[in-house]
Amino acid sequence: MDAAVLHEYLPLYAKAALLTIRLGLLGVLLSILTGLFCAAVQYLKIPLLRIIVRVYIELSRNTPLLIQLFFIYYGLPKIGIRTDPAVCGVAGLTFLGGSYMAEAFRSGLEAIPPIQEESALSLGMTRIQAAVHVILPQALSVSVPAFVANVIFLLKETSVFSAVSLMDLMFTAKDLIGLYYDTTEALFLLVVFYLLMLLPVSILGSIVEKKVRYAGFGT
Amino acid sequence: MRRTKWFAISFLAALGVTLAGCGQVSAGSAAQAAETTDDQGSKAVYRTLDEIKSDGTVNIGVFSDKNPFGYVDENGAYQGYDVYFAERIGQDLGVKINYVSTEAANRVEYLETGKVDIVLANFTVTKERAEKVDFALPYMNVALGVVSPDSRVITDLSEITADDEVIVISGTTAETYLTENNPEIKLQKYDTYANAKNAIENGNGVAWANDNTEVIAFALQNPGYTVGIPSLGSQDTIAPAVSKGNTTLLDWINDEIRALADEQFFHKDYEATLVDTYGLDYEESLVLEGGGAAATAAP
Amino acid sequence: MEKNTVLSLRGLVKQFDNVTILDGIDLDIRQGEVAVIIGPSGCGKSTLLRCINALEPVQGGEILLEGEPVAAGGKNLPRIRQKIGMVFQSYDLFPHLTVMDNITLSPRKVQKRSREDAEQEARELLARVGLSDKEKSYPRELSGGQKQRVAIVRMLIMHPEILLFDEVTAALDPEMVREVLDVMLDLAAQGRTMLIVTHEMNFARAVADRVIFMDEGRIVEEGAPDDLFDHPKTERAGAFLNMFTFESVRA
Repeated sequence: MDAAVLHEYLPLYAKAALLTIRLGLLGVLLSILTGLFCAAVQYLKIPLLRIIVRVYIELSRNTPLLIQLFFIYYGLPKIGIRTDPAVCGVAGLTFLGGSYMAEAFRSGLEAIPPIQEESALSLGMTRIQAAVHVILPQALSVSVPAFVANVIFLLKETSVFSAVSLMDLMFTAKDLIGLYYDTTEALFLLVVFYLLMLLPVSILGSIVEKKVRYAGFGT
Repeated sequence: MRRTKWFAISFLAALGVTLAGCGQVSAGSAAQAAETTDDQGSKAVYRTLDEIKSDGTVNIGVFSDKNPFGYVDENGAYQGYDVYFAERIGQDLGVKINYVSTEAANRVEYLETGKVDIVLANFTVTKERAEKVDFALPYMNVALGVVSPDSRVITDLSEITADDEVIVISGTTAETYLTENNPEIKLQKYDTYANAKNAIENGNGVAWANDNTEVIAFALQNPGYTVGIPSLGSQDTIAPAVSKGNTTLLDWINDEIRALADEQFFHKDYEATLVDTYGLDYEESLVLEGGGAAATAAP
Repeated sequence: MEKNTVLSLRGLVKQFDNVTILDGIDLDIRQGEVAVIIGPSGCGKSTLLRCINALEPVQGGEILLEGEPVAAGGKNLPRIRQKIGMVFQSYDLFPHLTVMDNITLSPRKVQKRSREDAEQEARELLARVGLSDKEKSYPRELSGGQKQRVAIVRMLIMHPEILLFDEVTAALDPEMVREVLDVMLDLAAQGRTMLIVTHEMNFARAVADRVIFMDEGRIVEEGAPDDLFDHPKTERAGAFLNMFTFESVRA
């Protein structure tokens, strides 16, 4: 391996990692919001919306991100909706991640026994107060492992961004190989940068998991 | 707390192993490269002419999405100018052909790792590539070209502003040329020909720079687009490539190309595969027989 | 309705999928009265408590708390529910909050009391039930009996007009039953208005001003504990009580 080549490539990888992190985190954030909305719709059993959410979740979970990106980036312009690659990447990630987050939150909500809401109500809380102070904190803590897994999954999924001309880590590596043929160096940096990016998320995730593991029921 | 620590330690250990592994791999491949350049070849990734013949199958890397040079037709069969030549190679070698679909960016890698014996994928001869693979005699001329929509035809690179993005395919000579000679131009890179084609159709970039053969074909097939810059940079050639140091196979291909000149094989190839796209106007400027001028200039 | 009536049920009907659970219940609970409901499993006594707290919608009749109607989905429900304290059979503490936070959540969020004020009262109440040392514990660190005592404190801090107890000792190990019943006896001695559903007959006899026997969704018989336990007027009440008497003879 050539240290000079590694040194020369570093800024390009740093730039790509920044793009991956920026778009990845934005996508994760919007996924969380989408997921919370969908989970709320399902939990509150809102008619009609509930069916739409169900259809969305099935559609999103059963198609690969690459196909979703193709559809948004190459398909939608045919009917006049043109998106910039970054917007497309975030939209695709949100479309995919929203359903995964929704399922994580929903299983968290369903894990909380109804008696929890009933006792909160019997203490004079409104349904919203019960949800905010009693149900959600418990549901979220139950969701944390699935949530952390989803975050890592989504950040890894950004590696298909190359399909829409986004210079993420994967595409940067492929592109440099195509340009200069330093395959070993390019792939080595790829692995290192993905680890550098995802390792902190994993470690942070396991710390958070431990912190919120209070929601043990029974004794 | 304790579990977190173990978690972190085990991850760092895994990272360490990965790094060590990479180091070893790189040392190994460096040694291998040295050996192949020494023509020792004992541990080489490639297969010699005799090995290919005794195996009975040759692996040829071609494009699968680049009509009319290398593509898969509606019946699932490989077709095109490169494939026409590949068929002849298989026939004259007396072996079966296993086509391996390649992308622009992985052509060198496929040869370096021995995934294919020969690349016949619109492979432009460049100095950088020639350091990694061995090119045989060329069989086609090529230059770079730039196609853009009729609404704003780009006739000179100076017309491209700082806000504009030019579509290129990752790993092509167009990308290398613009990266080196016009670093001020923002490139929008795609990993496949199909995606780049879709992108220009959707108006994602102001222009598409690629081999002029391809942009000419695109403009001919898609009304509303003009090749405003038909020839950019130096005139280059397209040639078959083999793994570095695979001299037996390289020599055989060179002999083959010289021999085929007698029957004007590449003119026939053009008329069979390219004439529908380019008409007869481009035949003499594109086709090279017997390696052309390079046949005598070849090292 | 008498002047000092706290809770008044008129012709209460509750159905689940056309199965009638409560079939016209009329009941008045006076200020300071301790009423105990007994009856076989499935007689509707737990459902009755849930209806009083509007956790179940009713299909007929009305519930009046100090003259004000209690109805599921009603606008004033959160305000009215503050006047109705309830302790459930299953442990229903909030597992993500400490004992102190379990107790002070509602006074702070619902009644907008200051943390200091709520915590001070919580400490006084915890001391009365013998749990002063548990305020920083989480529910999972408590025994069943301790959890039920915390649940009682959590209800008391809202200053309810009437206390509902739904078989609060039924899920407890036998050695923990007493500590919870003692707290309830203490509350009765303070003159609290209480409506208790229980299977603990000795306790019922000791604590009750009035015992109500329910069967098949109706009030079959009611009266002073000594009258009802020793001289039940109806055959059904007699048969039900006989099971316990027979058991106690064997013991």
